[in-house]
Amino acid sequence: MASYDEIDHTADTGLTVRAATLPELLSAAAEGMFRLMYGEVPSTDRRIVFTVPDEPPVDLLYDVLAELLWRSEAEDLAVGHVEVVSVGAGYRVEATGASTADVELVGPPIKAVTWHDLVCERRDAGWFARVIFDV
Amino acid sequence: MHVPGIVFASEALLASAAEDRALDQVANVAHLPGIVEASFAMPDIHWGYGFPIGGVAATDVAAGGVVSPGGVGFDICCGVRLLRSALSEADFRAHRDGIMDQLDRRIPRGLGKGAIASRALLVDVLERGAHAALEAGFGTERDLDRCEEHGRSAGADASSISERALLRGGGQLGSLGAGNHFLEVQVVDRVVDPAAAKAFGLVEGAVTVMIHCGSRGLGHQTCTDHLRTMGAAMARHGISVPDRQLACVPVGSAEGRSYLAAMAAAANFAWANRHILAHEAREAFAAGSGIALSDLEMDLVYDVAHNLAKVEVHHVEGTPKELCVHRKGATRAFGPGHDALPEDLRRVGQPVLVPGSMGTASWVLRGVEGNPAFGSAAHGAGRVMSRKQAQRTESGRQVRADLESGGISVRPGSVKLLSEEAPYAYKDVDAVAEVCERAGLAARVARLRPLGVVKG
Repeated sequence: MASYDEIDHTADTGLTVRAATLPELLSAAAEGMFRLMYGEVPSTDRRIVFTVPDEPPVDLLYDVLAELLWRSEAEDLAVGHVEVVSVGAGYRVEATGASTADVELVGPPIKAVTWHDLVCERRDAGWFARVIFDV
Repeated sequence: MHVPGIVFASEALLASAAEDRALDQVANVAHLPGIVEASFAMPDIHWGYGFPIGGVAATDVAAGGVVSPGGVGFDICCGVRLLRSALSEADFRAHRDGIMDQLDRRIPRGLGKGAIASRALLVDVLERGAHAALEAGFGTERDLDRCEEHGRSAGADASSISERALLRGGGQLGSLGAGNHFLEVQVVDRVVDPAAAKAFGLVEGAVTVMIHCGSRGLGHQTCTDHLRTMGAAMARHGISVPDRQLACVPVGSAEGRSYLAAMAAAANFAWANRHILAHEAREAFAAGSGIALSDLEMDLVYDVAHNLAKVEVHHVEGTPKELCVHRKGATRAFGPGHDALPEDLRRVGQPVLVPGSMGTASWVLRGVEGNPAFGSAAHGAGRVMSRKQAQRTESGRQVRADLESGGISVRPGSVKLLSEEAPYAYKDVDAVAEVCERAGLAARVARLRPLGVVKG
């Protein structure tokens, strides 16, 4: 079962994430990132789908989150649910949610995913990630 | 480390910086290739990402010095603009609700789009900054003269802004954003340096308007794009850094030139953004008070960036050198005589705007001769408490009630988010201003007290 916790960062914000598998870790990190901004988001038929190539885990985490952040703003989607699955030589990311006009901000908008202190690695019997966001 | 780290702070301010990882970040910045003199940190230093917030680093361009997007930040050319006015505090209070309601209506904020949707104007703005906004009917000619870089960063290339950045933030021109961005109505509470205050147009008891915002999603995406490119290019340039957020390349490299051209275009977006918001603020004051715009005398005091890298000439060990000066959460603070200043301010020094929190105060400082950190000073009070802690301390509703009971009118984009920016989440801005003065970074001119807050 995947889980995440908010990091107490002085100026910005971030997450630590734990999951059994890498796709679950990526899903949880992405959902957590948007949860910091929007809290619970109702599901609608709005969605974003894209694939990312396989690459080192830390780069993969960065690319999934950065791509979602860009698409969510460019395509006006407050993301509520994210599913990541392994497909061939990469990963398929599908995010669903609602228009930002229909949700209320519960935290400051995230400007960017940062490389500062970025971790994505196997730890104990599962996977661990740490990511700081600029707000 | 190629150079030492130097932090300008009192014991109290240093203690709060030492509680998180800000000092480690000062040390990390000292590893940048070509860095000269020191990795500096201003009195409002706090933990950032890559650079500390309040970090200043200059690299020697001719010696292969680097440019690092992390030394600018995602919100390229985020900065502060201050307008003066002929209104007294009593005048404002007499029309307070009308003015605040007009500001509430005219200042787009939060996640929403900006007031400007024209793609043609956007491209012009990326190339020419506030000059393009002026030609489109916003602001006044004098505004340009009172803006750092005259509201137009040199070397901008609109074509270096990615389609992704345009799609993300192109529609946000003329908007405040959210987080710590704000428009604040203030009153000049105390003048410390009457001569400088007079030159800046500041009179004790007069109302001012301060605007804090940047380049919105367009800048955020531009930084993201170039960090990725630089991260991949570093090995080719034989560069390694202790934090990937400090990714950098030589200023003169193809990647370095490309970043600086894109950064300047994003900076132009920010200069124009604040220029347009100031125009809207003037219109709001006129509509809300019923006083003619010409009688309000809402002239621009100054506009300064606090997230920018610029090639400037400074003396290093007595020799003038072209340096790429990164200011990440730090304000340019040029002293008297500098030819970058408008003629009527050249004898006084550059106005340096240091916003505090929405419940306490802000400061106007002035640049002084002999600044020890490449003409830089603090950019704000600096956070002392995380957003999460701040939200746990008081609810947004309570923060609003506290502010209003203190005579501060509030128009929040989100009541819940007010608590993250509550006064108790910030350091003492009076202490930051005092340390700036004692350290020879800048001198105090006037203290501003908030009367009304429009938050994202």
